This record gives sequence, C-alpha cells and structure tokens, in this order.
Amino acid sequence: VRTIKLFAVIGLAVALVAVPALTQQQKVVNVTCDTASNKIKVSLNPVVLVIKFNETARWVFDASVGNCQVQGQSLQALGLNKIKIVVARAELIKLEPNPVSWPSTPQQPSAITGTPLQAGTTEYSIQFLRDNNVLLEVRQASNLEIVVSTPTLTEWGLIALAVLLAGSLAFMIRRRFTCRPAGT
Amino acid sequence: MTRKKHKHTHKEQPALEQRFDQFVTTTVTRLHNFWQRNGVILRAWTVFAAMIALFTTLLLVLNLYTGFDDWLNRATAAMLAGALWLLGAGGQTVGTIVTSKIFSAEIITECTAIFPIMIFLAAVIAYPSRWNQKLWGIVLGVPAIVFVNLIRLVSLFYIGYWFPSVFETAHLLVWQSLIIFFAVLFWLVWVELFVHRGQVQHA
Repeated sequence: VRTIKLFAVIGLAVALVAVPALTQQQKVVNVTCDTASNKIKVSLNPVVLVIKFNETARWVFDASVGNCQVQGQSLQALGLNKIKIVVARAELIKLEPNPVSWPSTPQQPSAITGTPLQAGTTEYSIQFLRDNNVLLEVRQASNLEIVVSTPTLTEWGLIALAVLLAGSLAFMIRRRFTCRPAGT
Repeated sequence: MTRKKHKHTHKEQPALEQRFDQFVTTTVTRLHNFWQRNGVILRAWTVFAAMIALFTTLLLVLNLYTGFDDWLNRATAAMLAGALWLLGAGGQTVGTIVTSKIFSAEIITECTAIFPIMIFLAAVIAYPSRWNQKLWGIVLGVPAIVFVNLIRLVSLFYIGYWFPSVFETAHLLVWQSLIIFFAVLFWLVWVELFVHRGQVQHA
C-alpha cells in the first residue's frame, strides 16, 4: 500500500510538471537557402510570425544557408560562422542563444529559441555574420506578433457579477413591493 | 428507600406527539410566512439560477455541435480589428488573432462578452416584469455590453502599447470592475426606465 501511495505521489508530481510543459507549444521557423534563387528563405505561413504567450518560437538554421550567394560568393566561402536575430523591440522577447554559431555542432544545434516576455508587435531581421561580427547578409524578416488573451471576467469576476445582480434583484423587488401608508 | 423506576406512561405518550405536532405546525407556519414575505425574491433568485444553468448548458451544446464559440471569437476579433482600423491603428485579423501597428491579442471565448451577457440576461428574465419589458432589456442590454467590451479591448490595445507596465492591472483590476459596474448599471437602468416607470405597485 505504501509503494502504491509513493507511486501515486510521484505520478501526480510528474503530471503537475509535465502537463504545463506539454501545453507549451513551439513554433518552428526554418531558415534555409532557396535553391532556385540562392537567397535566404524563411518558412513562414502566414508571413507574420504570431506567438501566443504560452508558446515559444524556434528559428532553425539549415546547413544549406551556407550555399546562399552574396555578391557572387557563397556565405560559407565568405566565412559565415554566426547568425543573429535582431528585434526592434527587444523587451518583447528573450532570444537564446543570440547569436548562435553556424553550422550546427553536436553540442549546439544552429537554432535560436525565443520566449515571449510581453505582448506587442515588432519587426525583426536575421543577420549573418563572420568573425569580429562582420555583417555578411541581412534578411529582413517580417513582423513578429506576440499575442495575449484578455478575458472579460475571470471566474471570480463572474461570481461577483452574479452575486451583485442577485442582490440588486432582491433590493429592487423589495423596493417595488414595499407597503406604504396611503397618501404618501 | 426503594428506587422509583421511570416509565413512559400512557399519559406521556400523547404529550410527546402533541409537542411534535406543534413543532411541525410551527415550522410549516414559519416557512409559509417566510415564503409569503420573501416569495417574490426567492422565485426571482430561483429563475436567475435556473437561467444561468440553462444558458451555460445551451452554450456548451452550441459550442459542441455548431462551433458557436469559434464564430463568436471571429466576430469579436473582426469588430475589434474594425474599431482599430477606424482609429488608425491598422487592425487586422488572422483567424481569432487581432494584429495592429501597436499591439496584438488572441480572442478566446473568455474575451468576448458572452458570459457577462448570460448573467445579465438571466437577471432580466428573473425580474418580475412583462415579456415586452424583458424584450427591451435584451434588445438594448446585449449591444450595450458588447459595446463596452469593445471599448475595453480597444483601450487594452492602447494601454499595452503606451503603458505596458500597467497592462495587467488595467486588464485584471480596472476593466473587470468596470464590466461588473456597467452590467449592474445597465440592469438597474432597465428596471427603472422600462419596468418601474409609471407602474409603482403598492402591496
């Protein structure tokens, strides 16, 4: 019986931690090289990247990024080794690690994770850098929207409204049907 | 001295029954008097609670079979985007997500005015009045609450942009209180203007 209780407690603890973790979804944005145009391609559909407050965004930089051409030379040949995301309103999202090394290593995949800090809308761009943060290419990505939901009334608000209306009902009924002496 | 053994005599038995009968009669009379004094209020409260239960069940069934919640969220999002567009903030909708130049929000069922409307309607139906008077309460009260909710959403967009540090306070504290205040106010205005006006009854 004690073992069952122990497992039950462990199970409950795991569920309490795992359920919120599972509900946190992740939006993945793949950054690749478009083979037809040899330009950086950001997979976004729709174009505006919308992240809800319980979500995170993950920009994954593909190995093919190095094949993209800038002034007739591939980014890899130009010495691309870092990628950075620049957000106009940095207070909205926490980006980690930023910049990230490219290409991916077994220790660190070439990906940046963004966690929303505050709701709002901002523009962002992806910078491709080499040693000493020399800028090779900038990909002006679209808007980044961090959305929040704003419930009209919480459950306590609804209870308060129902109680107040019930009280008002009683008050108005009592006022309406109160006996009054004649002539007043 | 011999100990006197206590026994229930035949004389005591009817006395107990009499006391019990008296107790039942008194309780029934008290309950009857209480109902006489407060019957209207109790009936109104019962209808109020029943209406809330009915509306909640109806909403659950509608959501389950017709996707009413999705329609409601999209309609609220469209209204909000329209209002923001009129104010020059460039409101747009992507499903139930409203984006603009200043702020973005996701419209979920709790963001719509449906729950305050349900409670408001329950109070309108529960108050002793004629059906045409109730109809006025419904016809005028529902759009009024929807309009206040729209003002709330638009104002939260601007608060989120200009004063992001007070966004949570404005959303959770100020606007919740204001929604409750307006819902009760609209109900009181309806009672005074459409029910009580010119027909004060003296019991």
